[in-house]
Amino acid sequence: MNTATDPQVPPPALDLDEVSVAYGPAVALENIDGMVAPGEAVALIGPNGAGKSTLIKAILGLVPLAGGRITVLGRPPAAARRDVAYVPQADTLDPEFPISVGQVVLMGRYRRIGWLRRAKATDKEAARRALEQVGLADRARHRFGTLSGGQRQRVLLARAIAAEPRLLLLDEPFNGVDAVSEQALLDAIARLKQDGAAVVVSTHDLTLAHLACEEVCLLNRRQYGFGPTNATLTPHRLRATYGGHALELRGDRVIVAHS
Amino acid sequence: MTAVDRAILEAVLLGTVGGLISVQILLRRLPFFTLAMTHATFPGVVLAAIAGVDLYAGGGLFGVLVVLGVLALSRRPGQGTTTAIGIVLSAGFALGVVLLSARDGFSKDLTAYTVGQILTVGTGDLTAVAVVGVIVLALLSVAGRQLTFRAFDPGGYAAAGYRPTAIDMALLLTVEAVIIVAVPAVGAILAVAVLVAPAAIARLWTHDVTAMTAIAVASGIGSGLAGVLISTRYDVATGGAITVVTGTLFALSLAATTTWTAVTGSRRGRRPAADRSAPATTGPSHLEEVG
Repeated sequence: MNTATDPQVPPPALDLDEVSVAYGPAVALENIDGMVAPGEAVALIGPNGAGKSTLIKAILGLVPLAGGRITVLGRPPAAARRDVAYVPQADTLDPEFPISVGQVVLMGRYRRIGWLRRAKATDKEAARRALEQVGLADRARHRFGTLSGGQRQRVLLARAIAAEPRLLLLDEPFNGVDAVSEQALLDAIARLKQDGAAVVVSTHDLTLAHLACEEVCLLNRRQYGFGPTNATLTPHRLRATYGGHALELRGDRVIVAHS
Repeated sequence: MTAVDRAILEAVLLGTVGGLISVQILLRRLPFFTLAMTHATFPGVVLAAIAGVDLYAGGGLFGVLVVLGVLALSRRPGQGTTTAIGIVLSAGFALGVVLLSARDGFSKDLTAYTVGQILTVGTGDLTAVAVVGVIVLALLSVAGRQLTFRAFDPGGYAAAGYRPTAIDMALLLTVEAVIIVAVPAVGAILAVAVLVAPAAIARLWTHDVTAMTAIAVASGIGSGLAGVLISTRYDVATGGAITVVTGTLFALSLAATTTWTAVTGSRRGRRPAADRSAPATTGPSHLEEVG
């Protein structure tokens, strides 16, 4: 990439160059190729087990590549983690865990705070503002598990915002999320993009892909398309991605995959 | 210093150290793992006694091997952590019993290693608990935040750029160190009461990790002191007395907090109805995600 060496032009937030990942002999991803610019969002779309989570892990540098190269903000993934934030699915976390909403959001600052030092006023302020951006400023003292699924997802997004990322990775953030929380998530993501952050979001929901993302990456082990949302999300390509007729396209363009 | 003075000091020190580490054990869902480690440390202590080497060194070395063994076993596909822990627990304890019975004139000391004898602890034992206490305090003050992060969101912890294996090993080795120094006072079998129960009691009263730690330490010290008192007054086994007090404290806390919730209908500690099927703190441990 000559843009990576040119100081005048910022490097792409994410550059996937023929990326392949294998778990032992099983190939999880093959030849994924694409680029995400700062301020842009890409939706990873594909059936369960398509490798969406694996690709997110690879971007985080948590799984070794069998081939190709991933460049995050002009650096190898492991060297870019400080500028990358990851939002897990809220329902994978124990709602019984004794922790408050404010404490969860402050986790986004831990890498900045370090091991021995206490959280500074700037850290607490950043956490407060992040919670405000997802519309839950009044819930800081509530226990995390007492919130609804959608609200918990917003808290996890706030944690990521508090880390001030330049690349944000979200794993199925809209699963089981009510309309109010969905809108709050979309608003917060839009604001992050305005501030120049790039976003990668895995989702089943084509409507949300249209709403939040300029680009989509159709994925099922290999890549079935990577490009502008409207041009790439064609019925033909979706059927190829999801395997023949295992798919219904409704008027609202939501994927219904049969197994 | 009389034997009773030393016993009281040991009870306070062990209650503090056990209370502190118990919170981390509960947050990481490691109570069953800790139970296995206490049982598996037993043959190491016996071996050390037979070989005439330092009890702490022998038990500690063996315990580290046990930790690594369980971690390796639980990584094999098709072998859940619970299965591996169950096998290590029973096999480790059985090995200790066999080793003990193979030595003539040694069997009568069995109880000293299994249920302990706090009234015979020496200044060396006290020093050992104090040193491990400093290690626990150091771990919590350097990595307390990170330990909570790792327990709450194992995947997110790795994604944030931390090394999970490092902090997991630090925690497990510290737990093993606490087990070793607890053995002379409460024995390998009853040590689990010191390492698990205080946090379980505290969890009933609060949803905050800091408050939990304070209540756990208070419970640990309280149980220890009450146990020593009952033991010296009524001439019963001290390790047993401490553990019975701890168990009673848990039962009373459970009854009190359950009644309180029922009477007040307090929503403070309740989770939304939709989450009732979600995993509770008794679920599988997070060891699968180690490394």
